[in-house]
Amino acid sequence: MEYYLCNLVLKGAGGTADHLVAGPWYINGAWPNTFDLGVVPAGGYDGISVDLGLPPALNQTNALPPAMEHVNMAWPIPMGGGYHFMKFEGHFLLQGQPTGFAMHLGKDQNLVHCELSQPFTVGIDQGKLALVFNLNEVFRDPHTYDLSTGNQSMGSDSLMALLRDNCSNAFTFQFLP
Amino acid sequence: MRSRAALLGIAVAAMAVWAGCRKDPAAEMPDPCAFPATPFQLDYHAFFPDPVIPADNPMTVEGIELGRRLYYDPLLSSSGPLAGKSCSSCHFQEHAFTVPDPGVPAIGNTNVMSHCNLAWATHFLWDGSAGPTLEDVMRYEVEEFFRLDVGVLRNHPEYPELFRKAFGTCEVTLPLVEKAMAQWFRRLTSANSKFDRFLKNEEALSPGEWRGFQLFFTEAGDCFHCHSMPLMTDNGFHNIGLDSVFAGQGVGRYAVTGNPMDLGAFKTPTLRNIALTAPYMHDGRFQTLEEVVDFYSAGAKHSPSLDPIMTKPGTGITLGMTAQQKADLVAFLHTLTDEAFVTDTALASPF
Ligand code: HEC
Ligand code: HEC
Repeated sequence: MEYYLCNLVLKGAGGTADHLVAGPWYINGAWPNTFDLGVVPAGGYDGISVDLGLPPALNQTNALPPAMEHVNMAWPIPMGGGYHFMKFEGHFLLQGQPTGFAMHLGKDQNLVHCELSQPFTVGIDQGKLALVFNLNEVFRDPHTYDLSTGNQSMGSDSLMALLRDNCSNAFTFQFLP
Repeated sequence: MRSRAALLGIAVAAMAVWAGCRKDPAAEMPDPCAFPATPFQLDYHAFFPDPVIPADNPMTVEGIELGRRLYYDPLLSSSGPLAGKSCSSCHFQEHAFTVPDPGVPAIGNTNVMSHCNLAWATHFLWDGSAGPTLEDVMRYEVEEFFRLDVGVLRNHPEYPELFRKAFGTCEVTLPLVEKAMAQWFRRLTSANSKFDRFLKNEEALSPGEWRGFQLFFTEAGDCFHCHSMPLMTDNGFHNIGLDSVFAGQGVGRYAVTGNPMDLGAFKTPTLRNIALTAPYMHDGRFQTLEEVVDFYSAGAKHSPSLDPIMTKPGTGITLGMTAQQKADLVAFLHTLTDEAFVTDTALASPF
C-alpha cells in the first residue's frame, strides 16, 4: 500500500484563517509514517481537508526528487506521465481461488479531495493529528467496487473514477492535543 | 590499533608544546602507511536516485583500482573450494558480467546475476539473502563463497602497497578487501543504452522498438510496474508465476522471510543489457528473450502467492499478445543494451 497525501488544510473556526501545509507526503504501509507539520497557529478549527495524490504541478514525470520510492511510483510517459497517486495491491478470493488485485490511481482528474468536518482546538504545546485510511470504505461508499470485474484499475478511467469517489470518504482523523 | 597510535602521537606532541619547544623527533615522523587517496566522483544519470555510499567507505580512484584487480584475480579463490576461479570466471564484462554460455548456469541451476547498477540495490542474490549494502554482499562473496585466506594477499609482493594506497594503512584485512570490492561494484554503472539516448532526445527508436516501448510502459504489457525506470528494476521481489508448486531453491524469498506470500518470489532483475545476459530467470530456464516474452504472454501459472500485478484486467493471468506484439517487445528489450558499458576498458581486466 503506497500513496501520496498533499494540501492538508486546517479550517480556521469562526472566520479565522485556514492553515495550509502543502506536503506532499509519501506514505508506505510498511513504514512508520510520521511527519512534522511545522508550527500550526493555536486556536479553534472546524475540521481539515486533505488530498490523496499529487497536485498537477508535481504530477509530471521527474517532478519529484529521484528517490527510490518516487521513481517506483512513476506513471509511465506513454500513459500520460506523472506519478501513481495510490497503489493498493493484494489478493481476494474469486471462486475460492486467491486472485490478485491492483487498484492503482493516477491522472490529475482523479486527485482525491477529502473534507473532514470535526472541530478541534490546537493548544500552544505539541499536538498530533492522526489520519486514518479506512480501506473497507474504498470498496463501498458511495459506489460498490466489485473486484471480480475491477481488479486492475490503472488502464480504466471509469474504475479510477470509482476509486477517486470512494477514497474521498475513506479518511477519518483524530486530534490528540 | 592505528587510531590509538595516532592519539598517542597527538598527546606526545601536545606535551612537547607545554614543555616549551623541546620537540620529540619521533612524534613528528609521518605515518609511513598514510596515503592521500584520490576521491572519485561517481557519474550517473540525472534521473537515477542517489546511490547509498557508506560514510566509512568513500569511493577513491585507488580503492576502485584495487577492487577491480581483486575481481579479476584468481588468487582470491586460491585458499577456498573454488580455487582457480576469479569473480570474472562467472561474470564476463561482454555479457554485462554474467556467464555467456546459454544452458550452462554456473552453480547447479542458479543463474548468474548481472553486475550493473548494483550501487542502487538494497538486497542481493536471487532471494535477497545478502545486504543491505554492497559491503555486506562482498563479505558473503569473499568470506563464505570464495573462503579467502587473507594471508595470500598479505604475503603478496604487490597487494600490500595497493591496500596502502587505497586505505592509507599497512594492514591487509578482509573488511578492507570487501570495501575495495564494494567500491568497484559501485563503479559499474550503466546508463548509456539506445533507450537512454531516446529519453534524452538524442536518438529515435525504430517503429518496432517504439511499439515495444508502448507495450512495456502501458497496461498492454505491464512490464513497468516491476522493471521500473530508470534502473529497470523496482528492487523488489515478486512471484511472476513461473511455477505453481515451490520446493528447494524454487521457494525464493520465502527462504529468507518465512512468509508464505513470498513463496516463489525472486529479486526483480534489471533489464538493462538484457539482450546480453541469456539464459534467463533465477534457474536459467529460458534461453532467449522470445521465450521470456512467450512466457509473459501465455505461460504464467496460478498460485496463492502470485504477484497481484500478474493478474491482468479481467482476472486472467496471461497477456495473450500477438506475434507482432511479442516481436516489438523483444525489439524494445534490445534497446536496453549499453555498448559502452560492456566495452569500457576501464571496466576490463587489468591483467
Ligand atoms: C562459479 C560462478 C561464480 C563466481 C566465480 C562468482 N559468482 Fe557472483 N554470482 C554467481 C551466481 C550463480 C549468482 C546468483 C547466486 C544466487 O542468487 O544465489 C551470483 C550473484 C552475484 C551477486 C548478486 C548480484 C545481485 O544482483 O544481487 C554479486 C554481487 C556477485 N555475484 C558478486 C561476485 C563476486 C564479488 C565474485 C568474486 C568474489 C563472484 N560473484 C564470483 C556466480 C558466480
Ligand atoms: C510482477 C513483477 C513483474 C512484471 C509485471 C514483469 N516482470 Fe519480468 N521479472 C520479474 C521478476 C521477479 C523476474 C525474475 C523471476 C525469476 O527468476 O523467478 C523477472 C525476469 C524477467 C526477465 C529475465 C531477466 C533475467 O536476468 O533473467 C526478463 C527478460 C523480463 N522479466 C522481462 C519482462 C517483460 C518484457 C515484462 C512485461 C511483459 C515483465 N518482465 C513483467 C518481475 C516482473
